[in-house]
Amino acid sequence: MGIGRSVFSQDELDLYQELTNLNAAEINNAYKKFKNIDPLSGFQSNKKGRIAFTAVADNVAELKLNPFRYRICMLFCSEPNGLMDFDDFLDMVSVFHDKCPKERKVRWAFRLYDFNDDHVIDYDDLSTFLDLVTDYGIESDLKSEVIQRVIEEVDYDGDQSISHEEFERILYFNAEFYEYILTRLIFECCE
Amino acid sequence: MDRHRESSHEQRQRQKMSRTGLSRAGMSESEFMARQRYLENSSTRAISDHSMAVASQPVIPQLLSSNEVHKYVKEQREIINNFRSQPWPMQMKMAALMMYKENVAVYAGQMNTLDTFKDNFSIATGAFRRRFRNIRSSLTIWNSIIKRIEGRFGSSVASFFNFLRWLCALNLIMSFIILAFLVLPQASSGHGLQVPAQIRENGSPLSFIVDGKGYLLEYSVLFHGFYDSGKNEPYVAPPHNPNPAIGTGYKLPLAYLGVIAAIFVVCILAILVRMVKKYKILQKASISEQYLFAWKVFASWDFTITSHETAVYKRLRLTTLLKETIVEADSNDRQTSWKLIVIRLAVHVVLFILLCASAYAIYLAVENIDYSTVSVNFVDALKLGLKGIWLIMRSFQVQAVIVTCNFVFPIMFQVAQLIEQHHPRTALKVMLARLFVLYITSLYVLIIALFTFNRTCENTTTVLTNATFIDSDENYCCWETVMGQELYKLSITHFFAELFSIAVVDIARWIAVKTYICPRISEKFGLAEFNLARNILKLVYGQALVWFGVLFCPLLPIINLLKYILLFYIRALVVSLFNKPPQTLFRVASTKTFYMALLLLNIFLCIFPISYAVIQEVPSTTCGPFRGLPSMSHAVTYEIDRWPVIIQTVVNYVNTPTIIIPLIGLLCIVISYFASLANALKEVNKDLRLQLHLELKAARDKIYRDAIKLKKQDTESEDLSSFSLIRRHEQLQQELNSELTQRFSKTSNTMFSYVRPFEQVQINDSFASGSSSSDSSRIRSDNYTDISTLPRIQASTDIENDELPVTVSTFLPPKNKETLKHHQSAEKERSQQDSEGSVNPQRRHYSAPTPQITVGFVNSIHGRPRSRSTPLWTSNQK
Repeated sequence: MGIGRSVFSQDELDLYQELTNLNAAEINNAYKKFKNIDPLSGFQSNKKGRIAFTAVADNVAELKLNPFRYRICMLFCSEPNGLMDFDDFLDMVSVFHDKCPKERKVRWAFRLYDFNDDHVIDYDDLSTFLDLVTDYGIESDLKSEVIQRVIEEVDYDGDQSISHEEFERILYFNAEFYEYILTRLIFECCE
Repeated sequence: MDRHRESSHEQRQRQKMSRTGLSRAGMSESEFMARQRYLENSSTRAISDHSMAVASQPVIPQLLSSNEVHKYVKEQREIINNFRSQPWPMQMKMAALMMYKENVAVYAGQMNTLDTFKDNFSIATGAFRRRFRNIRSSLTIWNSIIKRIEGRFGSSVASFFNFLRWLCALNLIMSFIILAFLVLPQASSGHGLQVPAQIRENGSPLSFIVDGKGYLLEYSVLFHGFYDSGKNEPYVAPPHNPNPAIGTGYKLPLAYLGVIAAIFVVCILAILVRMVKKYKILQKASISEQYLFAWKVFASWDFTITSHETAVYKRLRLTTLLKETIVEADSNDRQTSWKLIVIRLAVHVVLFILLCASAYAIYLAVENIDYSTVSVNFVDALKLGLKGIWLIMRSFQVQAVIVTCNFVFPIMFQVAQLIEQHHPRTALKVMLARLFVLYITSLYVLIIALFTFNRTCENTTTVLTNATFIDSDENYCCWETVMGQELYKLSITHFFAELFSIAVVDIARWIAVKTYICPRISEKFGLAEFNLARNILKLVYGQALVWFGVLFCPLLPIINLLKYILLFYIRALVVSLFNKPPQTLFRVASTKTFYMALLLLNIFLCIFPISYAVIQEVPSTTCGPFRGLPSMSHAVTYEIDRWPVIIQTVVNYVNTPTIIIPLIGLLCIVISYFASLANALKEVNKDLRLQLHLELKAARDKIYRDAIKLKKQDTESEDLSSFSLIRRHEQLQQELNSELTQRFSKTSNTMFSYVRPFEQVQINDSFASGSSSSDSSRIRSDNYTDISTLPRIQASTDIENDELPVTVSTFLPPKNKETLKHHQSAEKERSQQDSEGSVNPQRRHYSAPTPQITVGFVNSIHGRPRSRSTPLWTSNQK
C-alpha cells in the first residue's frame, strides 16, 4: 500500500489523482488489481498494455458476479477492439468511487441500462435487464407485466420508454435508488 | 511560455491572444448558439458543465484587467478540478489538463502579487487536503472485513458494521479526552481516595472483575469516588477557603465537569455532522413509494455482491419478490377488518402492561440491592457453596432483570407481529419503535431508581454489615461510585448477553439446521437472518449506557470501545459463518439517517439525568472530586467567584431570570422561524418539482404539435408516427451536435488536435488565415508534438456528447474543402467585426437561439435526405 514502492512516479500519481476520484494508495491498489487480472498479458512489462474487457469483467472480484459486467467494461473501453488499458480501468474505478458526483453516476447508470444504445430505456432494455438479473430465469408473462408496471410508473410522457430525464428523476431525487443502483459498487482498492 | 519573454512581449502577446481568442470565439458564434440551443433542448443536461469548459476557453482572453485575470485563473482552476469527473477517456483528460494548465500558467504570470499569493495558497491547501485524505484513508481500519461482508450480505448488513465502526471511533475520541484531561492528572497527582484499612485487611482485591467490586477496582480511576480535588482535600469555596493553595494549579473538579461537557458536545456535533452528510443524499425518501416497481426492479441487483451463493440466492429470490409486489400492489386498498384492529389493540395493551411490569421489576431490583455484598470475593463465595453463588447472583440482580427483559421482550414483539399481520414495512417501524421504548424505559427506570437509592444510602449507612466475612466501613457510602458500578456491571452484562444471544439464536439454530434434527422446520426456516433493526438498537443502547454512566464511571467509554471492537470481530465471524443473507430489500439510505436520529434522541435523553445529577443532587461527603460542595455545579460557581468583579456581575446578571427568560423566548422564536422556513422551502420545493414536470411536459407537447403539423403537410409515405418523429428529431439533434463539435473543436480548440496529427496542418492553416502567424497556437502545437505521437482513438473530438467514442465515430463528416473555405471567410468576417471592438462574444452566445437551426430539422422531416457533406451549421450563414 505504501506510496514509496509504487510503479508510478510522483508526477504520474499526481496526474492520476487530478484526473480521477482516487487517491494515491487507491491508484496503486487499482494497478495491482489490474496487473493480476491476466498474468500472461503484455501488461506485465508495459504500463500501456491492454487486456480484453471480457477478461477484466470475469476476473475482477467485484465484477465477477455482476450480471452487467460485460456491459460495464464495454462502456469504459476506449478502443473499438474491446481491449482495456489501465487508464480505462482507472476511469471505471473512478466512476464507481464514492467521490464521483451524483449526476455523473446517474448518467453512467442510464447508459449502462440502455442496452441497445438508443438513448432511452425501453421495453427491450428492461427485458434484457430482467433477463440478466434473473439469469434468464424469469417467466415472460411476469416479465412483461413487471415491465409494463415499471414504465407506467416512471414514464409520464407516454412514449413507452424511460428517457434520461425520467431516469434522472427517479434516481437523482431518490436516495434509495441512488444507494442501490450502480453507485454502491466500490472497488476493494478504494475506501 | 517563458516568463521573461512574456514580460518583454507582454503587450504584443496579449493582442495576439485576444485576437486568436476573438477570432475563435467569433468563428464559433453560430455554433455556440446552436450548441446553447441544443443544450437547452436536449435531454443531455449533464454535459453542460463540459461545454462550459470549452466555451470559456476561447472567450475569456479578452478580459485582461488584473481582477478579471484572477477571476479567470480561478475559473480555469475550477474547470481543471472538474476534469476528474468528466466522462472522457484518460488520455483525453490528460491532454486537456495539460493544455488548460499551460493556459492557466500563462495567465497566472500576469497576476499581481496579492492574487498570486492567493492563488498559490489555494493550490497549497488543495494539495494539503489531498494528502490529508490519503493519510486518513490509510488509517481507516476494517475496510476489507466490511467489504467482504457487504459482498455476501449486501449493503444493509454492511451498514450495521459501518455504524459499529463509527461508534468505535466516537468512543475512541471520548476515551482520549477522558484519559488526557481526567485520568492522567489524577493519576499523576499520586493520591486519590484511600482504601479504608478494614477493607484492605478483610476485603478482596479483585472480587470478580465484571462486578466492579473489590478494593483494587473500586478505589481506582475507574469510578467517580476515587477522584479528588487534586489536592486530596475537600474543594472549598474561596471565601471560606482556609488554604488558598487549593484553588491554584490544575483544578480537577472543574476539569471533571469540563470533560463531561466536552464529551457531550463532541458527540452531538459528530452525530449532527454525520446525519447532515447522510441526509444530503437522503433528500426525498418518501418518493420511492410512488415508484414501487421501478424501485424493485432497478434495485434488484445489489452491486456490492461478490459471493456466488448470494448471487444465486438473489436471482431466485427476485422472481418471487416481483410476484409478491404485484399481488401487494393489486390488493393495496384492502381494508383491515375490525377483528384485526381489535386484535392489534389488544396486543398493544398487553405489551404495554408487560412493559410496565418489567419497569416495576427493575425498580424493585434496584430497591433491594443487597449492599452487604460490597466486596464478595469470588473464591470466598465459592467456598461458601450455594450461598456464595446466590450472593454473586444477588449482586447482579439488577443487570439480570434488565438483560432478561431485553432478551425476552424482542421475542415477544416478534410473536406479536405474527398476530398483528402488519404490512412488512409497518411491521419494521412498529418493531423499531417498540424496541426503542423498551430500551429507553429500562434505562430511565434504572436511573430513577438509582437516584432514589441515593437518599436510601444516606439513611442506611449504619445497617450495612451482616455477612460473616465482611467488616464494612460503616461511614463509607459513596452513591456516585455505586451508580458507576451498576452501570459498569450493566455495560459488561449487556455484552455477555449479546454473546449469549449470538450463541442461542445464531449458532444453535445453525447446528439445528445443519444436523437435520427436525428436517421440516429447518427447511422452512433455515438459518437465522441477521436482524438489522434489533442489532442496531442494541448498539444504540450500549452507547446510551456510556452516556448515562460516564459521569460516574469515567472509563466507561474505554470499556465500551473494547467491547465494541470485540463485538465487531465476533459479529463479523458469526454473520459470515452462521447467517443467511437478508430476504427483504432494505431502504439503506433512510435507515442510516435513522440510526443517527436514534443516537441523537438518545443523547438528548441522557443529558437530562446527567444535568439533574450535576445541578440537583448533593455529592457524597467522603468521596469524589466534589466532596463538600452543595452540588457538583457549585465547582463552577465558586470558580467564578474568584474571577474579577466585573465578570462576576456580568455572569450573575446573565444567570438571573431577567436574561434567561427572554433568551428562552428568543430561542423559541428562532426555532419557530426556522421551522416555518423549512416548511416554506418544502412548499417551494414541491412547486418547483411540479413546475419542472410541467415544463418538461410542455416541451414534449410542443414537439408533438410540430410533428403533427408536419405530418399534415407531409406527402411522402414515410413512417411519421409521433414517436418515430421524436426519435428522429433527437437523432438529428445528435448528428447536428456531433458535427458542430467537429467543426468547433477543429477550429477553436487545439486541445484535441494531437488526436489526428495529419489534421494539424489544416488547423494551423485556418488559424493563420484568421490571425497572421499566431504565436500561441504555434507554441502549443510545438508543445504537443510529443503527445501527438501517442496512439489514440480517432473520434475523441466528440467530447460533449458523453458517448462512447467508438459508437460516435460513424458521425465523422468527410473533410470538405468548400466548408473549410466557407469557414475561413466567415472567420475573417468575424475578426473584422471584432476588431471594431463593439461586440462582446461572451455576451453573444447567450443571446436568443437562431431559428434557422430548425430548418434542418424541418427539411429532413419533409423527407429530403440531408447529405452528410453539407453540415447543418452552414444553414446559419445563409
